[in-house]
Amino acid sequence: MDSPRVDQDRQRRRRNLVLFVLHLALAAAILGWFVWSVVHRP
Amino acid sequence: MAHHDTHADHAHDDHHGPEKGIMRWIKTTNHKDLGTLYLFFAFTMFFIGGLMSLVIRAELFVPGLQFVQPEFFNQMTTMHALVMIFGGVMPAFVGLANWMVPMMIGCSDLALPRVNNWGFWILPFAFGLLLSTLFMDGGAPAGGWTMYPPLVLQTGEAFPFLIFAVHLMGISSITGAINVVVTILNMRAPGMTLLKMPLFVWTWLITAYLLIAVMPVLAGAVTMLLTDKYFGTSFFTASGGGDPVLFQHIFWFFGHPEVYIMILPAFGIVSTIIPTFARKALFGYDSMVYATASIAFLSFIVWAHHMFTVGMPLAGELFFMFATMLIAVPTGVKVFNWVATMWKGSMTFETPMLFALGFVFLFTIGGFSGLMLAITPVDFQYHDTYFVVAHFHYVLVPGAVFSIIAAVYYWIPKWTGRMYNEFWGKVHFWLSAIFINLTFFPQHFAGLAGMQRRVPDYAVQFTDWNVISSIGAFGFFAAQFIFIINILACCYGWFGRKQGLPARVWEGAHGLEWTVPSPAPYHTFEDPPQVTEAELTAVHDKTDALDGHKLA
Repeated sequence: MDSPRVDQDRQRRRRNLVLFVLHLALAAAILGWFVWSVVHRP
Repeated sequence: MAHHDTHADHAHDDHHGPEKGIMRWIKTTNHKDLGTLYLFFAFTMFFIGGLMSLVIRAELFVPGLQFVQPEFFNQMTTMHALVMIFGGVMPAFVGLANWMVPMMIGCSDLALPRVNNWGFWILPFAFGLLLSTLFMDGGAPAGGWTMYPPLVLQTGEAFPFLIFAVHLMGISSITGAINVVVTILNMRAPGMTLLKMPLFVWTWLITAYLLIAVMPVLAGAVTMLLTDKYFGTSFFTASGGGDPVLFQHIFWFFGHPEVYIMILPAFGIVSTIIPTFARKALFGYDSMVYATASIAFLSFIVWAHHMFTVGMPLAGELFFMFATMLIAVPTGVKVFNWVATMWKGSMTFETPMLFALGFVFLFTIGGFSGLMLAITPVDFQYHDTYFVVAHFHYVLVPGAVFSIIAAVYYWIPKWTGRMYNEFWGKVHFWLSAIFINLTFFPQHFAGLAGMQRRVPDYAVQFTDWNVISSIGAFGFFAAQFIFIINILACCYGWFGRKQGLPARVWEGAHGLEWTVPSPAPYHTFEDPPQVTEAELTAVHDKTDALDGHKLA
């Protein structure tokens, strides 16, 4: 059984990984929208 | 409350407090008082310079002339730069150095407290003079903050005021820099060897040397402008045998180190905040110090990259191109070290950490566009366009300014004993981050498409990007009121904010400043503390309970 502290660190890292992936997705979406809007310029 | 406040007994040093009333601030030689004065002065200047930028962005919202005359527009671009650089960023960093350097190295005050008082009180007069030129016949200086002759010699009555104001700012900076050097080299607590100093102290030591080296160069350059205009010399006048390009060489020999003067302390701040909230020691401490010193050295041999288009010998252009690109190496070392510090850290995202992370991402964008500008042949295309404006605003606003904001959020609990409001801090960060990108990212596109800087009007094809940019600028300015209220609430205890924070406000923080009570007493470390290895470099024992402020 790990100490609560080690447990907290692990949970924090897991949450941060999810946050990181979400940010990456957001950045990709913005970049994708930008590239799309340049390619589909009227 | 867990006691790791080994030096908390320094509270008893508070045997005499500050004077009462206005005289406290006029006569003070206390490093904390002067730090506060510097910071309030800097934020006043940020506000004034910010208003000037809004005049610029309002005029550029759409093509054509809307609000101001072209002459006044040029005054705004010139004054905005001078006020932000010499009145905002530099005094803000001096203020942070005043507050934190003595507390970080364990000494009671700066080495030369009266010089410190003088150095600060020069500034209101310098900027009083400079800003007074707005009300003169012919208006304020309008030839750009770089003061290139012959254009700047056409300035009217404002000209001698400009020169004298620059001299005063230089004196103030040099006194501050000498004070920082003397303090760091002579007054460290026993055991605080150079390579144990916090990174903020290191970056400021190197910055101070840069200031001492280049501010006199600026003083010399503007004095030559003065004698060219009033005393019949021809240093920069071609008709008298002089050379206007000489000024550009001298100016940028000051100007490029000046760029690093405005960013090295920011590196120190980010190197302090990221380890705290990643709960890990800084990765590659020694390499950070050497990288900072390398950047400082290189800053002296790259100046002509600001003037590739003046017509230099090819060998000169190549030298300055390669030397400039070399700066990417130590800067890369720093960015990788910050990332490695966070790697597998137990990170939380309080407001100072958010601003520090914003710094790492957005400053790096500014760094990359700097590399693009360093390429001589393509610089002929970018030179004097909005691409340059976008570049240096990325390194200065989400770079230097974000680091100053991060530092204030990080240390305000230590300064005032009151915690800022985390929710509004986060709102402030996200609004700032979004609006700042909205302001400056489109300027890359406008610049690459050929929009020139320092013009009040532009061709219609640049309209879309300028509309976005102006909306971003107004949004960013508005968002800063959240910050001002949040910080003033800590200073004055608004909204019922109570004192009563532990000495070590942040769980992961280490360093001597976190061993004195919060708020820091008026006098700290009158007896030098014992510096232990664990306090400075080791990661804190994870069993240290969270006391007081709950994190995350």
